[in-house]
Amino acid sequence: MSWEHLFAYHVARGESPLKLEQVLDQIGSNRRFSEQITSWVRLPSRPAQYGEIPPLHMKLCSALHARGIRKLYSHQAEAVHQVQSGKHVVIATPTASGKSLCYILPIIDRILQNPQSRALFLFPTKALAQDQRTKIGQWISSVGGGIASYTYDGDTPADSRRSIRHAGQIVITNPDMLHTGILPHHTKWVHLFENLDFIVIDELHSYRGVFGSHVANVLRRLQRIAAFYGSSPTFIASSATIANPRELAEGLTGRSFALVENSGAPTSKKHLLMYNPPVVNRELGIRRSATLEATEILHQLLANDVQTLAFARSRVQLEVLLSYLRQRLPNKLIRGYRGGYLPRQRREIERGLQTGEIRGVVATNALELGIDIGSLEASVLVGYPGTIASAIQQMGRAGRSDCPSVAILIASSRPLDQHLVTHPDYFFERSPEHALVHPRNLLIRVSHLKCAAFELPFTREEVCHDHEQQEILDYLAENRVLHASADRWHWMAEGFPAEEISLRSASTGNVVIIDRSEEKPSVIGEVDEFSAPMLVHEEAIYLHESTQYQVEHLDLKERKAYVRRVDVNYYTDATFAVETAVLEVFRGEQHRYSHRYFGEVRLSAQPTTFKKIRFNTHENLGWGRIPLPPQEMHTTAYWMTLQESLTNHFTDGEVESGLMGLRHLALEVAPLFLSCDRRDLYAVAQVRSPFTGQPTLFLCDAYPGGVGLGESLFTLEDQLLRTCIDVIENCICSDGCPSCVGVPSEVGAHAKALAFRMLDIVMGER
Amino acid sequence: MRRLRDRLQGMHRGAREYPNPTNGPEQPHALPDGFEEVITDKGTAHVREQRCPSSSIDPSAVRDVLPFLLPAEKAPYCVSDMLFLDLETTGLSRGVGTVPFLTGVAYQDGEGIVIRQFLLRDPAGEPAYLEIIAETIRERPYLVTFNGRSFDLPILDARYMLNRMARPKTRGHYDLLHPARRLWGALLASCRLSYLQEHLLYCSRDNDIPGSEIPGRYFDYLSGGPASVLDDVIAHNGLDLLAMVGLIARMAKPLQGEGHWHEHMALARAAADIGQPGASATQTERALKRAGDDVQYFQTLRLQADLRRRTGGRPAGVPTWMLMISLVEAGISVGSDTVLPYIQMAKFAEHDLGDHARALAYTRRAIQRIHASNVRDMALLEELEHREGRLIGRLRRTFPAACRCSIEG
Repeated sequence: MSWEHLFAYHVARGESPLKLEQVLDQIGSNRRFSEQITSWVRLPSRPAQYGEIPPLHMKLCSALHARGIRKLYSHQAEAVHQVQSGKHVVIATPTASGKSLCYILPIIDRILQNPQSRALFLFPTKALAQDQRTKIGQWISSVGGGIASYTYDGDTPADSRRSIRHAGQIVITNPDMLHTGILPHHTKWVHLFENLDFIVIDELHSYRGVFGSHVANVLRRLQRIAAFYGSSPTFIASSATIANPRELAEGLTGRSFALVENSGAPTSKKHLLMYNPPVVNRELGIRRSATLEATEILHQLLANDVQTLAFARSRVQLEVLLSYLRQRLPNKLIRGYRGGYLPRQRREIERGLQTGEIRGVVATNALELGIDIGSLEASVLVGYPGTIASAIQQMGRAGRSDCPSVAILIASSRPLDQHLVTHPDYFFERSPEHALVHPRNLLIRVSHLKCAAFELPFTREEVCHDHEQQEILDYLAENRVLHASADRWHWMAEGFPAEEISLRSASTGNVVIIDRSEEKPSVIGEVDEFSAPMLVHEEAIYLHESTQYQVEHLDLKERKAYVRRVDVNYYTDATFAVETAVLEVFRGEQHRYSHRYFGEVRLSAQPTTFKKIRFNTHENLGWGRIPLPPQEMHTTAYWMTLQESLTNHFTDGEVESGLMGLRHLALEVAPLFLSCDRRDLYAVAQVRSPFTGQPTLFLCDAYPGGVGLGESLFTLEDQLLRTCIDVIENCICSDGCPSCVGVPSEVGAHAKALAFRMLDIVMGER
Repeated sequence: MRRLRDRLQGMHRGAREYPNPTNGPEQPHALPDGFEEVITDKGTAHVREQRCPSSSIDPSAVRDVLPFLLPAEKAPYCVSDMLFLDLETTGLSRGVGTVPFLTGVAYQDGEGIVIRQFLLRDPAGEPAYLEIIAETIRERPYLVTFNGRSFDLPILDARYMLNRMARPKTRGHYDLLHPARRLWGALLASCRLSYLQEHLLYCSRDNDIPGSEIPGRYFDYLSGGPASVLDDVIAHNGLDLLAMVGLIARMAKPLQGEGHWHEHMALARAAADIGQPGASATQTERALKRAGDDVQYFQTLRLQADLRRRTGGRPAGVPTWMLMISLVEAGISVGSDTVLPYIQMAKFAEHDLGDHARALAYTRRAIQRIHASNVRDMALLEELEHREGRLIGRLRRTFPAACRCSIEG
């Protein structure tokens, strides 16, 4: 910090700035703001609840004492106790409640008792693994050192890998490395696998959807290898607050878990403000932009010297906010924080916040993971970040132990934002969000069965209770991937199956996007095969890192799209007809006015034309045909049919309009329950479904074979439909807008009223 | 319910269709020519033995060359303890799923080289297959491989581990890849075993099966193909073993006085590394004779001077550096390191003779050489200019008033 800055800072301090609550009073009494605050929740402070420190190694007890820890928070004590009694444990308590101690204590304790003991720590990203390693290192040195902990990932130098494999007592890695770098080489990891007592899964909630379904299979492979070497490790998982932490842990590992979810950590007094920007055009349901409103609110906070963290939803939004704020508050040090910052830059921001030199940070959600900034007085969410878990994590960034804090959610015009802004209880009561995995997704399962066979032949005995697995193995043997001998299936193919499967990509047959602007072509991204004709058809404008590329050639056979950098004033939007055909019904439930189903469907998308649309004005600049064949995908889906008892009340046109409105709305609302993105689902409305013969709304999993979204929607239908009703009821527009059922020009003039009536009838009998 | 099989097939659209295997697991595959059953504690293994009376391990080569090029390994007392080993595998990845389906070994007895090859007839028979390989290794625990350190041996280790068997203890391991790279890396386009065999041993491998086809042959065999699909692989493996035997003798050739310049240079360095200055001097002498052009000649001198300096101290290097300087000044050498002898002579003059004026003269000539050459090492230039300044300072203090113009001129 320069001397001038320091001086200015102290002068500012000397003027005794307002306390946070005084600033909030000011905001609350200013009509400019107070009319937009849809809800103001004051959460009281709560003292800590303690539990006794369970019996631990002497060195660990003195280390705790040396840190001034005489008692553990109740949830920590409970977790350690459960682990020590041999149970698999999942800890789901709020951010900053001291979750990592729940696994650090029993593991260090075990290693101190028995230096042969080994533990494997899994973190979803490399950055997070590095940060945690530092934390674990501090505990190790406080018990006098002598415990070898290492991170093992793609950056680990080749010459230290050998000693990590032999001597690492705590090995910190990520699922991708476990998948390609450890399991397929398990014979080099004998010491780890023979003595594997613990597996830690931190950030459990991030293993959901496709990634989670892959990881669930990797964890099954891990347990299989551990069993081969005679060990049966205990899992300790920690999760953000979601609706189903135990179910998720059990789905990921296939084991039963004890759940620890009542936090004993103290909380300070906290204000939770829900803020809806003012209406600009009531009829069309248009509100002022969240970014502009955020600038006003952030200005109030920062000008009064409240240390504030703001979360933007995109890089562009971040840059805009940052430049507005810097213009208006030239004397305050306000920093941006995006993903991809180097450790040095991150440390600099952490330090700046601690010393108070930095007064504000505008971040993308990259900051959720991998940076320890302590906590601030205020956290402002500019738009709902997409999942409740993220929102809670971001809100949790505000709140020091001894003084009050505030978290403000500024709603955008998206339907979910509009719903949440009137339902603050989602953020401190029970989360509605289910993190889902579907380890039995056929595509994913087959890939990992190949990896597992590569790692260790399957014995007939091993799979005798799983008919599906036997059939897959036989199928692979027929296709000469495996060789079946009398009692085993052996991997018998060239190659290295783990390297052909990425845990994070949407599917195996992705289309790679190749930039030909430079002399040396480079890969800039990929899209899944099913969406390729929609996103990278010839002449499409593909946006990547805010640079425009035009697609020159799409080679579906070779799965390559060739693009070139361009600078044009429009984007393209493809029109395609998505159809579904039901292949099989797994579950069904019939009500008087509607039936609901869960099953397997064939999705087909036929791209037809694309439009060139001018930025800002949305003027149509021209169009073209997309001469591509339809794409097909088999997946799972939830669908709802409207029965005649309901449709009798409406004309055919009304049914169609209401259904279209429902389609728009349900697609926007469903992610609230599924912890997924809107793009993870396809919504299809059929006025007369060839399969059901009735008006039907399908919500389909966008991944081949599905990752559990369809089944979950089937189960949660009541909640989904109730929320849809609530959104319509609370939307300010008159006849439909993007924040509820869509714009009238697309869904019909009365879609809003029609959709509401349909839902009202359907739910009226439940 | 839609059948699982349909869904699996739907997933693998476009995958190659295979006929149903004609041979089920209950029907053992036919054995390739010459293979016989051998009973072990763990079941039946399959072995073929062949004699090559015309080949033999050259004992003097083993004695001379291996300690020289692989000093870290313990020497075997007699060649009959040595076991040449080479695997044919189902792939090149080093993960645990790579199966060595054919293991070839070669050793010497009273009548020449014996090649024994073990075939994994069916993956279920792996314990017996590994058992007989272990027995063979125990009999002759000094292994000779080509790239075995990072490929063959780790793969075998993994197989023993997977079958819960102890891996056989070895007492020494000569991996010929590293000496081969040392001797021929700069000389030949490739150091692959088959390439060395063709270019150094003049043994044609025209009909050899390409390595990339080997796994497929075994997969064909396992899924009911005729035993003869393996013939090429078995022959390939035998050739590899004989290539290793031949390679040891070939490595000793430059020691016996008839080598290429590169080989003598490599041997001179190797000898110096293991502290044999005599052998090293002999090899540099030979390299000087074999140098093909001025550049090679100059490089050899440089090595010679360096080796002499390492054993006899700086004065020992002086004759060679003087020779190098005279070559440079006669315009004979075009190498890039023509500055070196001047620097060395400057150091010699300064530290050994205490003659600062002469040291300064050499330093200045070195600086001139750098300016004259088209590749300028700026760091070196800076270092030399620093040295020049220091020497001028010394001379000033020694001769305060005198020679000012001559020093600074």
